[in-house]
Order: sequence, then structure tokens, then C-alpha cells
Amino acid sequence: MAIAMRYAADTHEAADILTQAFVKMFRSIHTFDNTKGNFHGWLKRIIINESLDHIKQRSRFTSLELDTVEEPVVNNDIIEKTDAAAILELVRQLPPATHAVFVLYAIDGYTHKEIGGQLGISEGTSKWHLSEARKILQQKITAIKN
Amino acid sequence: MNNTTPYEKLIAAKLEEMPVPDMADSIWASIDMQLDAVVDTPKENPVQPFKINVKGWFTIAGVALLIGAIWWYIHSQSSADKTVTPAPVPEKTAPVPVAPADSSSLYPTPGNGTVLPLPPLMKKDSISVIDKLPQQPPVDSIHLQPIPAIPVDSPAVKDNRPQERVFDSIYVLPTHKKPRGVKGITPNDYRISVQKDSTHKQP
Repeated sequence: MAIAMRYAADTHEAADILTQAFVKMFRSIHTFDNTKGNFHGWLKRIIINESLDHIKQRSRFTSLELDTVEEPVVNNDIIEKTDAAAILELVRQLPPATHAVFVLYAIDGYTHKEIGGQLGISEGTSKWHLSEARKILQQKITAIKN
Repeated sequence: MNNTTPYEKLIAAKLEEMPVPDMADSIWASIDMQLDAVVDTPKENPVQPFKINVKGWFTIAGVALLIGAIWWYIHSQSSADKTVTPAPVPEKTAPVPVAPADSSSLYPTPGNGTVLPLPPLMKKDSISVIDKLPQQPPVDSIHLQPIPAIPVDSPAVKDNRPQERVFDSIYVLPTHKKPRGVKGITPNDYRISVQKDSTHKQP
């Protein structure tokens, strides 16, 4: 549920994602091969794929290239002191595509190449979305500080 | 850009601690309902016997076209055979003896009997000789005309004696030769006589 919550826009969408993911899991349980990985990883991948399908339905991924790389400066103390629900709300305020790329890269540990393959975008577009996410989050976290 | 920043790791850690809303029962009920719906569905693509899709219509149209083409080909072949087959000439064909009604050895007289033509000449090729039986001539209403019955009071029929065989005119040899040549020309007209040659003319 926590995985679906990170990608969904709200709790109800997270519940839908989880339901669809479990139905797919039960229907394709015979295809699971424990020699290729553990069950938790397999189920996590199903949930992430279902989440990305939901995001694709409500957003459009345009091809964009990153010109300059700007590393945002964010005070970690602010994040540590901020509630998890508030941080999740900040992440959900990102544009859908940027939101998906940020969660995939920063939280679930996907590479830009893997993100490009999952979302059907180029690595440059994935980097652009990550940069946009960082800039937006920096602004919002700075706003919380003030 | 290829590394996660420290604050992103903090965000990830915070989100992992995120409490999950207590929706397990509703989610499981929803999963159960969807799985039941999947099980109740007999097939993903059930066969609908009375519903033909676009592909089916195209198939039917293709079969109809194929049948039409085959019919047209056969029809054109038969019409071509009809045009090639010469019309039966009754005068040149041998008469076929027609059995009388009482199956006795009586033959119709030449004047009264109906001359039946032989089967028409078929265009013989290897295929037709092997596969096809000789075609019967088209039935004409003339051939269906009843043969006049032989009077029963004939003495030959009464005594059951064999009747004298009567031949058709085609079997009878001609009694006299048909004159050849042009009338009025005698052999004397073909006689070569010496005449004056113009080359030996005296000047």
C-alpha cells in the first residue's frame, strides 16, 4: 500500500492501484519464477507497473531535453522536521510525469534508462523531469521554512 | 544528476515511514469481487454464433466471390462446348432402329420411322476422353414425338413370323450414276485440232 501511495494522487487511487495489482498478481501467479527473484520484489514490480499505467492514463509524457544541470540546495533539517504526510503531499503536488520520474528515481532507485523504458521516454527527458522535480521541491520546502 | 541527493534519501525514508490507511478490508473485498468476475467469465472471447464481425463478413464475401467465379468458369466452359459441337445433321446419320412397343423384330418403315441422330461429335482431348462421358444431344421436341404404332392386325404380328427386313434409303445403293460435267458439252468439244500458229505466219 505504501508503494501505491507514493505514486497515486490520493488514497482512493492508491486503493485502486493496489486492487488491480493484486488481481494481476493472482491471475499471473503461475508465471512467477522464484529463481529470478523473491516474491516481494515481483509483487513490488507489479504494483509499480500498475501505478505507472494509472499515471500514463492521466498525463502525457512529452519529449524534453535537459540543457543545464542545477543541483538544488535544500536544508535537510527542514525535511527531518517535516511530517511524512506533508512531504508526501509536496511530492503529489508535482506534475504527474515529474512526480513519477522523481519517485522512480529518488525513492525506488530506478536508473534514468530504466525510467525511460518504463515510461517510454528518453533518458534526457527523464533527467529533465528529475531536475524539474528537484527545483519545485526546493521552492516548496523553502516556502515551508519561511 | 545521476546520484540521489541527501534530501532525497531523507524524503524516501520519510515516505517509507508513511502510515498506511486502514483500507485493507475494502481492498480485499474489491479484489475478491474482481477475481470472481474473472472466474465467472467463461472465455475472454466468447463465441457468438449469431454475430458476425467485419472479418467474418469479408470471409463470406470472399467465399461468395469464389463460388461465383467457379460457376462462371463452368458456365463459360459448357457454353464454349456447345458452340464447338456441330449441329446434328439427320440426313447424314445412320438411322437407329427403334424398338417397337411389343419388342418384336419389327422395324419401322422408312417413311414412317423417325430418324434419330447419332451423338454429336465431341471435341476430344485427353481430359474429356478420360473423365467425361459422351454427352447426349439436346433433347428436341421432334425426337419426343411418338412413333406411330404398328397396326396389330398385321399378319406378321399375328403369326409371329419374322418380317422381311426393309432397308432405309441410305443403305440402298444408287441405281444409276449421277451425270458428271456440264450438260451440252460432248467429248468432241475437247478434241485438240491443229490450227495455224501465229509464229509461223508469213510476212
